[in-house]
Amino acid sequence: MSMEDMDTGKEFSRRDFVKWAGAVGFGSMSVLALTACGGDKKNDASSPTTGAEKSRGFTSSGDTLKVGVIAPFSGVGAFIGRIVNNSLDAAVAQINATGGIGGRKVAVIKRDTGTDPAAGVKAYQAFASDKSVVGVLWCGGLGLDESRAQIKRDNMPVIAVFNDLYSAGNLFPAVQERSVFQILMPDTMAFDVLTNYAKHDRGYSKVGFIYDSLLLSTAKDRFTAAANKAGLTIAGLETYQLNDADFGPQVNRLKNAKGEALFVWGIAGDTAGLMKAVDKVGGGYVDTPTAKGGEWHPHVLGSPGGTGEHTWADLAGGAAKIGTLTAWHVGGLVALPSFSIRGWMTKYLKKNVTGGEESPADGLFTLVHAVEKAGGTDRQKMVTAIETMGDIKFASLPFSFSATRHLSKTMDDLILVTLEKSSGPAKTTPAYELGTEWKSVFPAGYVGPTHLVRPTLEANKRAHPDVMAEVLRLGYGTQCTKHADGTLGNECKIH
Amino acid sequence: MATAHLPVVKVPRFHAPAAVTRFVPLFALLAFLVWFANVPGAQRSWLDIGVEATYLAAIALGVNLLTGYTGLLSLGHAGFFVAGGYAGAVWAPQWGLSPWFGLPVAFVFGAAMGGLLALLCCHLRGFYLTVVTLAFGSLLPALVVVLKTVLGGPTGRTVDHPLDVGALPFAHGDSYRGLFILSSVLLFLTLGLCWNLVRSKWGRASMAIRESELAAEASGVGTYMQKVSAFAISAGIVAVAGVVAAERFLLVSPGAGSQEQSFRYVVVIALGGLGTLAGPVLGAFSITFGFGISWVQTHLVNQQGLVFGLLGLIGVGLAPEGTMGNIRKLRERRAQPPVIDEAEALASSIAAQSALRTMDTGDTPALELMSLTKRFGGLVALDNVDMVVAPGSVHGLIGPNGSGKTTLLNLVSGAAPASGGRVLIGGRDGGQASAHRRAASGIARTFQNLHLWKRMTVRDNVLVGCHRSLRSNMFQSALGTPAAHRNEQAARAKAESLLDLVGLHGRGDQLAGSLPFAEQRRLEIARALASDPDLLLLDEPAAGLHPHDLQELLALIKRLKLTGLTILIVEHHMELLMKVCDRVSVLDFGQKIAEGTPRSIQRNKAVIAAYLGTDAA
Amino acid sequence: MSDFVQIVVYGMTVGSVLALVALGYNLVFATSRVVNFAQGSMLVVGGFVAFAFIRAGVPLWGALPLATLVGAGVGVAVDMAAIRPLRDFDPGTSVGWILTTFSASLVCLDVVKLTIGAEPRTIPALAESVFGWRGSTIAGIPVVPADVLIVLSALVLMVVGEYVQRHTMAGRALRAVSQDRAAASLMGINPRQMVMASFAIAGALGALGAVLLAPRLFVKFDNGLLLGIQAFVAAVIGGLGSTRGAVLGGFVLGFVGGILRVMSSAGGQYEPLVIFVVFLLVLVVRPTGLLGAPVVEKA
Repeated sequence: MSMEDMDTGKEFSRRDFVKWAGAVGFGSMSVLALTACGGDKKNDASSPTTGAEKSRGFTSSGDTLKVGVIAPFSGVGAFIGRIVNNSLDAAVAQINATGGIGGRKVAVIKRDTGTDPAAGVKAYQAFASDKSVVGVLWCGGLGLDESRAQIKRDNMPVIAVFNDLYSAGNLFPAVQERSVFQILMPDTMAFDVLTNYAKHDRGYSKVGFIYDSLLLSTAKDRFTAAANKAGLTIAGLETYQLNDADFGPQVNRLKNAKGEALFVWGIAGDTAGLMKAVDKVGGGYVDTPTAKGGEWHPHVLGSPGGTGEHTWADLAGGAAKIGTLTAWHVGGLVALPSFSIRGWMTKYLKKNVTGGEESPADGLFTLVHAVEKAGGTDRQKMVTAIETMGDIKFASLPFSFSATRHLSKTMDDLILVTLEKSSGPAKTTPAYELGTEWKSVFPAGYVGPTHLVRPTLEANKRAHPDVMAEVLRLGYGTQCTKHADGTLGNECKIH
Repeated sequence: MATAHLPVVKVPRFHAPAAVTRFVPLFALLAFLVWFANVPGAQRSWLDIGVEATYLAAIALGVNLLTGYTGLLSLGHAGFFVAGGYAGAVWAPQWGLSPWFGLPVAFVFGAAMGGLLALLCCHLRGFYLTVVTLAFGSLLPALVVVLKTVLGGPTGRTVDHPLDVGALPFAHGDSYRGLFILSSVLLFLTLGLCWNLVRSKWGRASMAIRESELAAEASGVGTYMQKVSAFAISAGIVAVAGVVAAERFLLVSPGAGSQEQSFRYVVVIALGGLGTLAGPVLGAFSITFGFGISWVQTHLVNQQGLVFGLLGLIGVGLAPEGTMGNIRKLRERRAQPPVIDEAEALASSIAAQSALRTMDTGDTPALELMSLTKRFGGLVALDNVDMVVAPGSVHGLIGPNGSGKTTLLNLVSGAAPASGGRVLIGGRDGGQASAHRRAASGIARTFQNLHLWKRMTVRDNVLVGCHRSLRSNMFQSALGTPAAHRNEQAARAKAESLLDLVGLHGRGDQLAGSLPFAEQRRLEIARALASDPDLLLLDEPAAGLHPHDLQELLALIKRLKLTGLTILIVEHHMELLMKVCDRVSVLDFGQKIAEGTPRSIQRNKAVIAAYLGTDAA
Repeated sequence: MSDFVQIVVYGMTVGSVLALVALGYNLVFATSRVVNFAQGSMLVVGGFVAFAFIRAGVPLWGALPLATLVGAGVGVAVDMAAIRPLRDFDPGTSVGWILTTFSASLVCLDVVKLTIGAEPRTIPALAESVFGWRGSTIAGIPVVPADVLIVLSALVLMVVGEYVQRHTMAGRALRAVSQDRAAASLMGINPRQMVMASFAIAGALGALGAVLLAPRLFVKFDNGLLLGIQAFVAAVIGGLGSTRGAVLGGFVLGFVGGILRVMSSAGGQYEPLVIFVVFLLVLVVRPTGLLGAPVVEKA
């Protein structure tokens, strides 16, 4: 099994990445807005693993329920397109194999944004004018901001996936467009969790920050706000440009500023280069005691789109230090046996999850379920249905929306993910007992993120008691001593 | 309005339908667009594709002026597309102008930007210019980050005061229909503009640059400013399309300004046919609508680069001149040469030429060289050469290879600056004027290696020669004013007359490249004559000619002499020189070693030594 | 002092990275007067092919020559697909070959994507240590063998290129073709073969460069377009067709980037603007680049 097939929890707080990547027009050709019809993968296997309730059969059956999908299938954001393809193909296969929605088959119509926001706007216009399209799944978000006025006019149900409207202040109720919902952990929450962890769990006082100024230029303000809120002093605020060949000057300044932690906000390839540059100046993380010493060994806290992807660890090799942390959400723990996603991915697509697949599928299900609940495709009724349908469970953990919260995640859903390797855990003082994940879940040679249940363990337990019970039972991702009676050791607070 | 641009020469009978058929595509396009706007049940997305197709066609037409006609490839034009959007759809309304003013504002802004960039880089030859445009294209992402407040950052700026396109006639209040109508109207305006331009002095000058910049300069075309104007107009057109796109998305997005987009424009033109009017429209329509086909949508979503790359390779490789180029070739193959009355034509053209010059052979030499010197680094190519060419005479210039003959011609014609000495033309100092200015002062030349514009028609080749004498400017041509028409008609009559003179009667519509070699030579002479020169420089006109063709050339030179023209002829062919020259000068190693009548030169010992020296030794 | 060293280290390494890519542009330009816009893609193709060999179990030192061979083959394929069919297409302008080489580059990238994959990859460093030296710091600025290897490779390739061009039969033939194709073919040199050979070498250089740069830039698609354009600008600044020019141009860009980044933490943001100005200045003053030979047009 190769690396890319691994079950690695993946989160995509990458809205900025894709959006900005598109906006500057880098990447491969974005010349044409091609449309792909979702392949209805033939498969007559039945019995869904979860979700996809049996039809309650309303009358207007016969024709297909179409959902418009807008995503980057080409260009720098194409990796998102691949996840969307996997996820939706499997989800559609499952829903149709179990009788569809109210007797109607579900189909997705995919349209590519490439790297051009205008293509997203165009795709939306095509969907908006097609009466048979019941809603839009907007993945990656190119052109979504620009279409907001039209969405408001059309009252089109839109599920934004991998697109952070919330952090930008563009999600209802902050703005008027009531029909838009978001399935993604917001960037601001990620910064909050990481800065809080740095300040309160680790006791750091000074942190550095380096970000990709071309693709992620909003990161600076969000980081600064979060750091100030947490009471951290900023030791070095650096930029680099996409695909830079050398990070020497920036790393040199960061080293002199001696932050105890370093926030790295960039895509996986650049993150790997950066970590090699940090390692080159002898700044590799060596865990708690030395991180606070006179030398510079910053604890790296990375972005979900950077250190959250296993690619960076593959590329950076020895420079990817165990203990590197990324903000995550519990639903991203796709490797957990209790999640359906593994099942239907292997069942309907003969593929393994690569991470992130739960989100588009959940979004799709939200839309078609809303048709069912609203008893038709009236847009206003669908929006109301989504706001009032309570917990939705399809591919991953249950989530919900409400009339005042159009965001599927709350702070209680967030966890931190740490990088571990099959070579063993980080050595800490005092020593801790190794979790069992790389023995029982991952094969030999695995390099990639595993999971650490911090810093909101109690909140996680409240929000997802079943899942957390399972996590703790497996010792999965808990990097701390587990006593014979099942309780966790004190060092769990700091690592 | 374009009808008046038809040639005024007597049109042979079988050409008559062509006059009508050339408008058929235009009517077809109009009919298509009208049908498209009225398709029963036309949906917004349907009209939306139509909007894209029409403004992409306008863009392609604009870029084609630069790439197809002038031969300059820009990979930065998508930048003007975005700039036009900003200027026309965002800034103009902010300045308190009516949004409709945005369209002309965008044109002016785009043209100014394009002109400015061109002023900086049009001295560069060939692809160096492309390189600058490529670098220009990569500026946008950086500018967008640095000038965030003005440009709105990478996500661009929204259009807050959109055009009320729904209020347009026939739009019935539907803004999608209205935008389609606006876009179609702009396409037709662009088509009209391009139609007028390419059939005018301006278009011919551009094509001349594309085919040979050197020859264009020698024919009196100010190539630098011509290139700048081509750049500016095409940028202006693209900028206007940028406003339509901004209105379509209600957003100006810098992502549309990438080099890939610029590349896309060129692929569209190349597929349809570079340097044609129908080609860009055909290319834009087929690509925009073609990629709407559901099979393409379903199967090629992950192979866009492959598809577009292959289209580019196939488009250029298999059909180098695009679809329209191939259609034109087919048409030409079917056309037959006209039947002509050569004698009558010839007589009238000699009379016309003679009328140009007073036969007054005064004392002022037509050309006088005083201590003319040219050095290339340490090498002295011409060393203090003095020479006088009497008005109305045919003056021969001979010398072994490398003796400096072509260098001398280059200095006289202004193609290269002298290192020392003076060139007096008709008694006036030529100074360091460039070739196109020399052309204005009455010098015309032909080239040793033919520098014809092979992919232009025979008539257009001659018409470029008339460049200087055509008074109408670019704006008059673009608008097709009556004055421009009159000028054009006069020039065409003159071109026909010159073709008669050199024995190419009725060949005006053929491509120059399709003529036999000997006729290409004579065409080059006709082109040189078109600028009404007092002095004609012929650089080895007999080279490569068969004996029969040589006789025709001889006859032609004699006819030219009859019209009072002064001719300086560089030649190896002694027999020709003996028969036509009044005087002959001899160069060797950059120095003049002899001068006199042809007969005396044949007996001159120094000349014999210079020519036969190696053999004799 | 530290700043100065930092600028030098940055300028030298990044400059050499660009020079390694720029050398490929030069070679093709020298024989065919064509800029191979697919050069950036050749870097990507070469890197991914080398990776594919390593993934299949071939050791690094075996994968390198194999990838170089495949790279040469891709170069020939690009020549056959993009240059040969042009023949006399539009000799007066560059429209034809810019279009076709650009197109070929898109095709190359998609073929790699469909066969090997699109995920960023890495290739192990050729040498972690040189004679036991594993890196040191100068005034607090680290220097490691991989960096030195890149700089040395660029310089060695430059010197070899110069030597071959000036002192070998093949080099003389190459220069003859670049100066006057017709005359060269009269002398029994086949210009077509020379052009094809130069494309093959350029493709091989792409693979070699990709392996050399992998420890720093990895093997990823962004290297094609982004690095490709920067290296091209470097080649033009230095003077297309001049081997020394490619290295000089790379260093100019490297040092500009280094100075900006050392000056300010936001300096990199201004890099494209500064480089555009430098680029225009060079082209206005010396249209053929700093070390390029002026082109004489024969009447």
